[in-house]
Amino acid sequence: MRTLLFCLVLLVLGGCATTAEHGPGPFQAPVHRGLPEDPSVERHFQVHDPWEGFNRNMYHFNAQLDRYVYLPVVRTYEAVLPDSVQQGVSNIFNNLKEIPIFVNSVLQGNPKKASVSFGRFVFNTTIGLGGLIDVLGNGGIPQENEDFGQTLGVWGVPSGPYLVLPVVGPSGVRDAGGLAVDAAMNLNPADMFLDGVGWAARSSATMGVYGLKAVDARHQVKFRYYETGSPFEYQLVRFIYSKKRELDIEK
Amino acid sequence: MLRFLLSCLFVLAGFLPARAYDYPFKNPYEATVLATLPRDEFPLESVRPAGLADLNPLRDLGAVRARELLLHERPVPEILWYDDTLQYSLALQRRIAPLLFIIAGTGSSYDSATCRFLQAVFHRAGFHVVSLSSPTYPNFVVSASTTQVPGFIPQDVADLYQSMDAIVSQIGRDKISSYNLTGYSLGGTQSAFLAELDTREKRFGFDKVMLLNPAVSLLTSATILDRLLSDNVADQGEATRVVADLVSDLSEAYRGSNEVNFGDEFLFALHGNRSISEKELKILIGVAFRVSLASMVFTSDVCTGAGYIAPRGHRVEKNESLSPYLDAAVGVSFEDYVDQYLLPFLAFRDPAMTRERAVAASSLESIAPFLRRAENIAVMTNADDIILTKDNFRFLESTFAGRLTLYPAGGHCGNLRYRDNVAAMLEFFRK
Repeated sequence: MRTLLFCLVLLVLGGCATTAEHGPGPFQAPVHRGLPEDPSVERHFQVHDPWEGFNRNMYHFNAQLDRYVYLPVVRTYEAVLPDSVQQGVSNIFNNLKEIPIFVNSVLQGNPKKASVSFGRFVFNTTIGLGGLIDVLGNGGIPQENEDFGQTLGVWGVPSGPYLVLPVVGPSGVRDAGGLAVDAAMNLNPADMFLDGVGWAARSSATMGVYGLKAVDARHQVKFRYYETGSPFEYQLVRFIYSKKRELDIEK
Repeated sequence: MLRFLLSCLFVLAGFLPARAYDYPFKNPYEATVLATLPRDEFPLESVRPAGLADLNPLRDLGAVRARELLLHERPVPEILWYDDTLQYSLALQRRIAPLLFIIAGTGSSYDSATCRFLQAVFHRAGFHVVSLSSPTYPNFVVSASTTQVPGFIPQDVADLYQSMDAIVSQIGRDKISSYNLTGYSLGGTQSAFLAELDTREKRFGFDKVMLLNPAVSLLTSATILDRLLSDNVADQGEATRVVADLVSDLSEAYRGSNEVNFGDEFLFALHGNRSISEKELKILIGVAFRVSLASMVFTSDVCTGAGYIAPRGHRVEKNESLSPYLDAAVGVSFEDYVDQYLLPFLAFRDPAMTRERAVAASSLESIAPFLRRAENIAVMTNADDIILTKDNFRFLESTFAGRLTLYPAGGHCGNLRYRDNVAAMLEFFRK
């Protein structure tokens, strides 16, 4: 089923790319400014990116997926549901994220962040009706930002080369590994509450929750591809992502 | 005698502003970079919605929609696939209303902070508002420019005019009671040219036009910005180092702060701790201009295939590293761009074109007689605007006479969101 869906997406994206070929116009500039890359130049904003070709293809793929599939779904979701319901959905998923955040804070030996995360989970799950209301966030205690990639960073694992993942986007070798660990710690509410029902019903509920989670995740991320307007956006995003990760690990 | 003195005082008081102009940054470079702090911004809530129906919270007053419009049926280079349509934003009223166009400044988009802010203000004030990117913004170059070579104002303005006309057709002319126009920086200059073009084409008949911090001559102002860099750094390496230092200080501040995100006042807070020197501010403005220019130059070059940055005949692939092109493109000053690319292109299309003619045609001086007569056009700028020369100020004063508002501080566009400025804009367009 998932393979079929994936093929369909590829087909849609392929269809969008069939426009007439662009060719150079008649005017030729009298001067050519292009230079061969000069290795002696100091590069303050350079990021280690040996797989740039693959990464750029993936960036391109993600952007097309976003424009033709992902964002239209998210926009429909945003148009159909009232803001309060959308906020509630985000709160529930964010509350479940407290589990990996707590575990990672402990693994990093950061008792302050661990206690914030623990407190948020306990209060928001009980008083906040299963995480529907972010009671502590409204009271000025926002969610910490921790994941297993950062934990590995604290333990001294180097970030490794820059890596653009399908759908997820900018990452690194270390952080991509971390994502898998965090995902294992993330509970699916459908699995918890539908213990007695049949396999078919439970697995479709599970898929439904994953789908909703994916839509909510995109809804929560403000980033839009090519919003910088610059043809050099890939480099900019690469630098900002890497710098931000580096700082978050030190924080 | 005392009575006479008192009455004199009263008369004098009538000429003085009610209170002094309090914009905080007196250094024009500081103003240009730090602009307006949220606490000094014009308060949006102070603008009343147009009618009772708009007070209904279920109605989406203030909703701004990003829109797309296909203007040219022509192939788009693969690496610029996402720029096939012109992007702009639209905030409509539910009834017939006056329309305001906002044209962004050099290298800026319809979604720039200034555009968004002015759009929100005027939408609340009862206008339909359309924000358009600058013709120097890559999306406009690819999707809306006829030649895809920006920088020659008469051509850029013709393209803007076509886009505005197409957008108005989509909105429906019957929903619009009058047409108004504003723009900041280069967008201000273009607004003046648009008003002039409209007296010939007659598709809108602008009611009011306000030029915000306009450049008088594009080449003069761009050269001033070029010099901020060339006068203050020895080479590209030094400029990069200054920016890298600033980024690392910003990072340091981020690490040390409890804030989870960079807020609007983050740079200001940093400035308070570490004080960015005037030289650094100049370099920062110069670099920002260079980088936005690099995006424009490379985009145009890829579209025309002229071989200025990428080798002629080479198709830039989507998985190709663009770093060498970025390096080459940031080395291009505006003057280089004009002499090595724009002018040769104009001469290629029209052999009678000379440098003098092209430069003159991109200056407000070329439409001075029209501007002198046009009572509906006003100018708002600052006495310390860094992109204007003494001659430029003299030209503005003599041409616009009573229609020029000159604020004592604000640098280049630093005070566009400041309360007094926005209040003055509102008063102008509402009258």
